[in-house]
Amino acid sequence: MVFPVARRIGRSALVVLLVTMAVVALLSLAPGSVASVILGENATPESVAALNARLGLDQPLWSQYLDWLARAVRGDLGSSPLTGQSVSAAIAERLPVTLQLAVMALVMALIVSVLLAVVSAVRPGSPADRGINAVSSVFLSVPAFIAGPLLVYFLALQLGWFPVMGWSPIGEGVGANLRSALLPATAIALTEIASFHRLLRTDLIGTLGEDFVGAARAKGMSRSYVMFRHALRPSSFSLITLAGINLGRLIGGTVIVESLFSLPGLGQLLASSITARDVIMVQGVVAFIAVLYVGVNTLVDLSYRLIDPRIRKAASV
Amino acid sequence: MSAHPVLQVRDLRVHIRTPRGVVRAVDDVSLDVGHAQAVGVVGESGSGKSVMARAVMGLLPPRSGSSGQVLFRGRDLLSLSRKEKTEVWGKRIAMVFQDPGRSLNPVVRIERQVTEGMRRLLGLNRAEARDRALRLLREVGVPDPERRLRSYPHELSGGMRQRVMIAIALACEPELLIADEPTTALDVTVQRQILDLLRRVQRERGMSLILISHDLAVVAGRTDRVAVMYAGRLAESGSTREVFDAPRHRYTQALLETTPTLDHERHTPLRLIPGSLPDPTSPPRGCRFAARCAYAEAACDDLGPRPAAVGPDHHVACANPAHAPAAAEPPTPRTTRAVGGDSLGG
Repeated sequence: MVFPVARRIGRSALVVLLVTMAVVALLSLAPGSVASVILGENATPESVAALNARLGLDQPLWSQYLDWLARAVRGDLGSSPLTGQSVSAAIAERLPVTLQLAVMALVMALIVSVLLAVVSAVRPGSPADRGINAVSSVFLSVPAFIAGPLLVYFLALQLGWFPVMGWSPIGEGVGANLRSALLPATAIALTEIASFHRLLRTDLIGTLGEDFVGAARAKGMSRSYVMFRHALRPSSFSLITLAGINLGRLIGGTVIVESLFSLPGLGQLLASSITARDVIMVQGVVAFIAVLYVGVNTLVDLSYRLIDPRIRKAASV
Repeated sequence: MSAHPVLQVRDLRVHIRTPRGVVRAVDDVSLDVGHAQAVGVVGESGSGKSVMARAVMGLLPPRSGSSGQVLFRGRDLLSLSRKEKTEVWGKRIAMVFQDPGRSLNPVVRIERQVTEGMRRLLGLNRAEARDRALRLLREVGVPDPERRLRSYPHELSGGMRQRVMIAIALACEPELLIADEPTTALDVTVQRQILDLLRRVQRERGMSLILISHDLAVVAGRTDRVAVMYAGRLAESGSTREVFDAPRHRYTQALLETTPTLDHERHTPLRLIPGSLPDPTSPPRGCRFAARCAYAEAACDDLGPRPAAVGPDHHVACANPAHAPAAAEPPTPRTTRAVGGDSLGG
């Protein structure tokens, strides 16, 4: 048990390392530097060079990266030369928003898609199944930046149920917080619902054809009992994988929705830092997101042990 | 045999829609199962024996239809309401499936799989159900039942799993147990134990049993009556002894002759029935076996022979049946495999 887990963590660390290296390399290809952003349009080449030297940006790329890495492994991600705010503080400030969005969207998507998949799988090809499939195709092909404005137009502007944009922190009241989070979370969830529904529907139909489902029916158990207590769990392995991968993706990937609804999340921080060539901030945020992403995926892999007893016996994960 | 049959299958037809056409899996089959009686149903793969069992259990596939009657204690199972069905299936009729590796839920502990039926149908509480489960597991020969209750199916051997399946089937003391090829997926050495276990619990409880198998030897020693099916139709039925000692249907006869024996001369080909089953989507008009039958006459192609009585408890659907034992050489089933034969009593 210990050895495979240790090997896993080692592999994950390598992934994070490669991601940060790639980010530094990519940003160095982009023209401009944070010094010219700080000094504005009227900066002379001499003053830009001087500021670059002061920030250590005149050093070769590999030495900059190694310096950053040496501090990062000790937990010091540095501070933004632009705002002076430390990268860790900036992340801590933005993370709750992104995390809440991602988790809310995922929970909403899971609840809705499980119910829809059950309805679909009970009678594949029935009018209900075909209707759900049609709607889910629509959801799957409508990106969040289309769904978002549509939701805002109908539910916020026309009906006035939700604020059009902006964020109420949870400290200012749970109701207001949920109201501000619901529309963006829904915009993210729609696509997820569609893909979750398709996956679980297929797996459920497969499981319902298994002998043990027939055996449970032959025991005199009701249809709903068999569905929820016998069929759902063995059908949900791929769904859990997908949901885990998507949670990791959403933590770094709600950029568009955060911009649309102007929410102060990680995605927005990343987007603005890239525009400002704030390499230190981008590096820190990307490294943080990579760690989270890899961590979530490792947890998902380990969770198979909980849901499928057959894996607990297997030699390594 | 019995004045009050537990189960009466009357003119049962089951058709299943497939991409290739409608398969008439069970075509006009009638069968009685008496009280405390063990009835064997024998036939090749595709003969309709499993579909018939599933029709009795209400487990037909979605794209299928049925007609006729399945009378259980006089009530037609095919026309029961959903609520009435739950009163019968699981509680009064139970089933043991072919492959215990597939009929136990891989992610649910044995305890819940054994107890959920009795808790729901008999209203037992958790502790009572657990006690009963332990008793049942002991009865079917599962060693260390306390530990087994906490196990998952993959931690048990195939034979153990089938014993658990039998315990599950017995949980509500059913009046009728249907065992659909209960040993086909098991090792030969375990097969006999499971079959003897089934026969034992059937006798001890005075329960009725339908034992479905493609293996004549399985059925021979352990049933009171036997029904031979071919391509969805009933070929011959009667007391096990009579059907095996004096088969009248040409198919039964051919089947018994093909049973390999220990004294089979070496390096000579095994006897086979030439040909194969008719196309299930368009079976021949007359006797389904006519194309493979060495004794077929013109009449066999014209009329589908109806089962006719040839003895007190012996029906045959054959236009040109074999002669009574006096004339024909009686092919007796011989013990050919470890699985056993007549010697085990019956």
